Amino acid sequence: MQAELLNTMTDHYPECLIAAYADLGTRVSLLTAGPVDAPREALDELCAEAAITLGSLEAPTFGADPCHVAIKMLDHAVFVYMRATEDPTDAYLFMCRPEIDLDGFIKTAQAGLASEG
Amino acid sequence: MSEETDLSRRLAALANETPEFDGRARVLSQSGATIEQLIDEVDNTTLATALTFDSGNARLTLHVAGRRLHMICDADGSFSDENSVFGKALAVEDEALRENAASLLQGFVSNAKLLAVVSEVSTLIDGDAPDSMSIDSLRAACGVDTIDDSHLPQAERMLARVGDDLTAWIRMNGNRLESTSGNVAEISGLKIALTTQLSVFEQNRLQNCPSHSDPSITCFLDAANSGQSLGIAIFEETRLLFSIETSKIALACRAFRVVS
Repeated sequence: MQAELLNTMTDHYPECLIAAYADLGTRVSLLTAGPVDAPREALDELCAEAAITLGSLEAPTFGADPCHVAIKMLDHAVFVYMRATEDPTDAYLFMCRPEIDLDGFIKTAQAGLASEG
Repeated sequence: MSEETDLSRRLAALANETPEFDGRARVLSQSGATIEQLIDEVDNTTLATALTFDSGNARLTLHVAGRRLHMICDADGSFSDENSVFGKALAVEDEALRENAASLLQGFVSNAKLLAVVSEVSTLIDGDAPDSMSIDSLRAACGVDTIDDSHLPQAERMLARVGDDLTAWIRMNGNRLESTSGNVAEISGLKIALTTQLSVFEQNRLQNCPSHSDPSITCFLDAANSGQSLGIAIFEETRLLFSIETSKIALACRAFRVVS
């Protein structure tokens, strides 16, 4: 099911270069997809950053409420982190080119997450 | 862009040598393409015209009149867009359609091997139809800058573009609170996050994410389903903390991208 969502996103959005499903607790990616074959170090860092940005349900990173979706944009890339519906200690991580249709991408991913739940 | 600068740009364009023709089309670029090239063609078109662009991968027809984009059509059936913008009037009230149109154009040029255009009379549009995009709204939707404020600090430039769409914001320079604006309760929440959470977040990222570099913008989406999201934009010593309607997150990211 997780692989299906990862493949859906990379198939529908060619700007999505890396898609991963990860355990936020151990900061380890469990599944990956996408046109870029990322080295293990890059995936580890992606997992670490997702864990730091999403925070835990008990201790939100920023603001008073737990975060379920976070976006980080740099000048060369945009990262989208989405907590999994079934297990909120897992998350879907995406690295995309910055010109991606961000609204459409998030809506598609959220629809996929909703069907997952 | 000031009127004087715009006029200078147009005169310079007129002074250029005649663009190359390959026997069928006017070749604007033989390697890649930019959204500015495409928008400039719209900007230079007054009569009702079908501009068919060839990227080497696909062909799109833009129906243009009065320097306004009225409609986009798939010229060769190479697109399979489920939420298609093709053949629809770009009405002012349909913001989503206009954003999709801008994304389509950006995707078209980002994958281009070249850019060539053929101009023909458009029979599909009425030059006076109001359901169309002006050059300014097309530039804004495509994230092309229309304001020449490159001499100003990035945080200020970002606020110039998206400040009115933020529910509240506070701007820090180093440890100094420079300014705030917007909803008082939201500002109060941002100040709490600033004092209790921001430095921990930044420190964690510094220690664990060696590839991270600023400037950056990070948005935390609608955690409580309130319709409001929080964000942090970091430019050198300046931190811009903001609250924004979740539906406007992409707007903030686009503004960041333009100024960063």
